Amino acid sequence: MGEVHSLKLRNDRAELARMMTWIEQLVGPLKLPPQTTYAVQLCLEEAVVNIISYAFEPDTEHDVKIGIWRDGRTVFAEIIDDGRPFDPLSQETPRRAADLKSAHVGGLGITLMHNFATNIGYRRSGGTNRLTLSFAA
Amino acid sequence: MNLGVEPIATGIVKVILNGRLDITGAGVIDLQFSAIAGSHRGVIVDLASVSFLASIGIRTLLLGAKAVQRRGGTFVLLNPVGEVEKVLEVTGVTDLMPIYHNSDEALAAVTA
Repeated sequence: MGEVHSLKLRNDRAELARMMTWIEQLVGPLKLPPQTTYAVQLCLEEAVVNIISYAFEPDTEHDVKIGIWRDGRTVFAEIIDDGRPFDPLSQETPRRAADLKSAHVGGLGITLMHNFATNIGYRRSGGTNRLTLSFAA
Repeated sequence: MNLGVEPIATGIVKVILNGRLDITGAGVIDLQFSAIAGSHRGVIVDLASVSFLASIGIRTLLLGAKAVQRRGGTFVLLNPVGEVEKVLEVTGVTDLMPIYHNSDEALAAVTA
């Protein structure tokens, strides 16, 4: 297993831009192919936005910690927060809408994570949520 | 992220998006995009220069398409590339609005 690269974000949507830049900077060190970079950025945006939006009491400051590392042909990303228990794997993915009129706007983040990560694991321990995503590289 | 507007005819417009349609990018263009969708009956959204699309950007597109359709208009996507097209496919957006890879066909669809 290679070196773990880590980043700490505040629970603020404005922090997402910093996270994206950080992932771009890992492309060289982790030798990420473009499709892997896309998948990592997409899944981390979806997961972190969910956490920032739903995990915490309003007007409280929290950290969201992210680690990324590579082991052979797999890239791993781990997201840790101390918010309320939330297992994204327990969320139902929305059914595909039959037409535009009946289509719901939202809830697609989980669908995207299932399609762009090769594996997703969730663990609750010691008051923290720990989400681990794997990607082919 | 930026948004360019190319008028085609009265009430018909091509919107050229350029950049990353993520949380940060959608925040930049959302207001202008929804104002355009709310005031045109034909909208082509050119995605050729959109290098990244996340669920927040799909929200932008869906809300725009709904606004145009509600008034009996036509909203189409043009030239999504690579992983952006995969995002549209796996989220089912490809079933909800026409997607063209040819400018003339997109034009014909919104001017019909």
